[in-house]
Amino acid sequence: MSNETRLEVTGLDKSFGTEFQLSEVDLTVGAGEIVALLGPSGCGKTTCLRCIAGVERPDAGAVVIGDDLVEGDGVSKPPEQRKVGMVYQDYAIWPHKSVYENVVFPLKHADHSIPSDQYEERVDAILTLMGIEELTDAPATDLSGGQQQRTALARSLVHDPDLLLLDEPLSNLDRTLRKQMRYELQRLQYELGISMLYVTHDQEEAFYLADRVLVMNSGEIVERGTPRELYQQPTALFTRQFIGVRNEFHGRVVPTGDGERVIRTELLDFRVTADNYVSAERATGTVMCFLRPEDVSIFHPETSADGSFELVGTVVAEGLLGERYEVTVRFEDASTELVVYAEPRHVFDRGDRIGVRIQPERVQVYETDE
Amino acid sequence: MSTREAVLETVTDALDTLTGWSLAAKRRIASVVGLGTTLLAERGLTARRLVLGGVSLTIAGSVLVPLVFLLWTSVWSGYPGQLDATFTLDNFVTVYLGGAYDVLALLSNSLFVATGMTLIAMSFGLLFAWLFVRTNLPTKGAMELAIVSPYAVPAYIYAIIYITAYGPKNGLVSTLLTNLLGLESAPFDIFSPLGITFVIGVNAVTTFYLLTVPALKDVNPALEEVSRIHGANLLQTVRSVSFPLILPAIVSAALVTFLRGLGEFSVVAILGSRDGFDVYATAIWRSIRIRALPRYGEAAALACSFLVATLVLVWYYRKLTSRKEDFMTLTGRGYQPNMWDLGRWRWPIALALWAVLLLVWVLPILIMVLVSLHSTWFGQPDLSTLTLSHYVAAVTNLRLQDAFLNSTVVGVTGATVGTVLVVGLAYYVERTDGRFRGLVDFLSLTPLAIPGIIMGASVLFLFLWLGKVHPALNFYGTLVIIIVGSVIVYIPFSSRIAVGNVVQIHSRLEEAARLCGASWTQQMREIFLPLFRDTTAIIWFYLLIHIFQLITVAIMTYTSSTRVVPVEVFTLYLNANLELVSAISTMFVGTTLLLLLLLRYMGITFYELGGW
Repeated sequence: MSNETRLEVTGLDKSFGTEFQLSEVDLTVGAGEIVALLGPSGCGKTTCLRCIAGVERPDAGAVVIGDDLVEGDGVSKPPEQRKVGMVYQDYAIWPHKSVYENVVFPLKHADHSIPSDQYEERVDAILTLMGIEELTDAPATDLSGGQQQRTALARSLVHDPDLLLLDEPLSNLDRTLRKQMRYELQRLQYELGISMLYVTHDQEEAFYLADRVLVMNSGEIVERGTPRELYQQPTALFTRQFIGVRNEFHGRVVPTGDGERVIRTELLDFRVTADNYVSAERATGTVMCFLRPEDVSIFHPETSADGSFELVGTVVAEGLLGERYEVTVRFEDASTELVVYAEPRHVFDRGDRIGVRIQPERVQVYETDE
Repeated sequence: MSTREAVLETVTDALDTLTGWSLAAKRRIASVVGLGTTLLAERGLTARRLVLGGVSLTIAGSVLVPLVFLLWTSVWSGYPGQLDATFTLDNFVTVYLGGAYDVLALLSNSLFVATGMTLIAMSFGLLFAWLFVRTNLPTKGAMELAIVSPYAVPAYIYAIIYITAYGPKNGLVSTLLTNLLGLESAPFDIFSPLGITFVIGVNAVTTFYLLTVPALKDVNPALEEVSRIHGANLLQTVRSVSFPLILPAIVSAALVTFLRGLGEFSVVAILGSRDGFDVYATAIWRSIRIRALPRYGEAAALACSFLVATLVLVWYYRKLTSRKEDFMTLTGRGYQPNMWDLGRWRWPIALALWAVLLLVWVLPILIMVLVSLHSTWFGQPDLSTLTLSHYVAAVTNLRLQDAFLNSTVVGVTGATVGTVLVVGLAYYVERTDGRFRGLVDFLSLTPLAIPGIIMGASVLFLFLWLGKVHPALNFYGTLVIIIVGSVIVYIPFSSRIAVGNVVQIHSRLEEAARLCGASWTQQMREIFLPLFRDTTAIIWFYLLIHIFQLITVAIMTYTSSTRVVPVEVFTLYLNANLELVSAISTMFVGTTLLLLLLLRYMGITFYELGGW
């Protein structure tokens, strides 16, 4: 087995009827790497995972797990010959078996190097690792959501698979449990050095867990990068919108007399720079602008200072959200409202006047399709 | 481990158990067998394909082949199995143009019976279902028990029950009313077409009730609440929300009932004989079993026009129920429905319903028990002639003992074969992307269009021909014919139960097993079959109860050595031994009820038996 890649998917196509679920999907997962497949529901990410697992047959494309060609080139191996572990969104714990019977199942059936007299020991060890050793003999129907989750993880890891596939494994858990499991997945990955492909629609989860994130939309991977890259400034408009910035407004590209281009918005005008994703040949047209609330600073209108771009508006909504104080500001003659963060010690009332200061280079600009 | 290695290992293990073989010989065998199996596997001929393909082919064959033989017989100048005959249209000419059969009367009679039966079953069934599920009707628990208890009481026993209570000559109620009111005869006549239809309709109420209750229970109360909250009153809510939601279930229940009514045989044969009232089924039966010289070809030709009509209905039924959510996946366990307060009408309604239940269901059965305890019944209870002699006669009668044994063999074998077939079918239809899923699914519904009498005739033709092919295939005069016919008749119903329950087992549970390294066969053994065990038991009992009491296939195919209980009851009645027949029927009803109570104790309810 090569040390570099554990999973290599090339040119995966799958359609149901006339509807495309996947087109030309390429992806790799390196040894010891966590890769997240991030996208809205219905974007094809689960279909992609199922094609890799072998429970769905792609129309075209190749899947190589380890050094083993499992799909493509006339080969389509059944799931049991693919040496993967998988955790389902609803866990798929067999209700007629105990926790032990669920977890020992892969040892009994899958291909691995653990001798049969060590099965019990192995199951005990993995249940201990999951922190559910006391549930060994519990019937599966007695388990809570979190316990089912742990059992499913134990089952998918017990036979040392080459690759672990996870299909939104945390989405059925409550918030606190989700945070805890998120941490434990990373800990497990660190302790066992396993490679994971992780499907989720939750960007927070993807960014926390993954070494690399692939953003998917309508069956295509639209962007790949590290969580940091994607967080700071993704290249694709879809990613920008999906990952979400609170402030979003339209603008127009307008050429200036001196060959430069300016972006006009309701709030401010600024020059097109290299950081903006506006192609050189686009001289005019509409664009989308995004502005993170933390990139806007606020001041009292009376204490106006110079420097960056300043606007004065009215507070229309305000309130504490988590650890920060969020203020929504409306401006005269503009339909765009801005959400900004203030220190919790600030106090505004609805109707108060408020000044905002924007640094134009922090506005992220993307071309729109029209 | 590759498939090939696995196969080699298994074969070598098996050979190790053989002694007295040289090691080289064993190796040679192992490699040949291993190679062969691997080649088969590489051609895709896996265990999965073998099992599912076999089951699907069997079902398709068992539905289509008898029909082919029916068609053949209808255009064959000789009897089935006669080689020196030619193709001809004479049978059709005789039946439809020659005036040998009054086809128009048969058609209108069949339609009359089916329509009337559907209306009766629907109005009673829906009314009870609605009141029990959605209102605070008092004593509804006991009422429900009274209405579902006749489940699986066959129609011919209903006919006998009604004769003891409402029969024109000796029916207890009839004689009482005649004497009391000083009439010349009873104010009703169950031997009239209307009477016959009423009895068949009453017999179908339980089924209709059981088919609609789950749909009523599955209506999400939030949908109705939202309607009320947004300004619709009770009636508007029923009309625009509740009724449309359960309409598909009602229509499909009505269609199934109507199809049953079109093919109804036993009640018409028993009650209609006085006035010579005939429907399709009885006419076909007469021309094969009653005439001195069976008119196979004419019966087949007659059946053809019937099948054209029913196949259209089945096609419509399938169209209607193809959406899964409207299908038999309804379990009735979904929601706690809103209870509507009947207010001060609670008790009057309850009393009225009890009166109906008493007159229509409870009283007739009690009278039948009373009749069975009289040495001779003259229309009025006579305490001096009370006796258990008919029960003794029933138990000691050698012919009845034989019939009981035959029925048991038919029931148990049929239930087992049928269960294996429909579980395989359901798995193939729901769990694979096989090319013929749609076709197989449709074929599994097709017997709905073929009433038992026509199915009986078809398998009779089939086996008459088979016997000619080779003596080893000569099953004529054995129970095999009855078993085959009965299994086919119940494929639609049992496969609906199976399909509905396969849907309930999440396919991810099976995929997870494959991902954990289990092969398809191991997965079936470890995951699917254990999870499906309860449903398998339900299907088995369903088939046992129904095949045991099915009269139509047996009455078309029985010989002196293959008489079964339903046939015995039928012929005993025709020989006018009402008291003995009542005793047998009482035992029959009692046993069925005990079995159902036992099942209920085991946790299987009437609803899970499907209510068909």
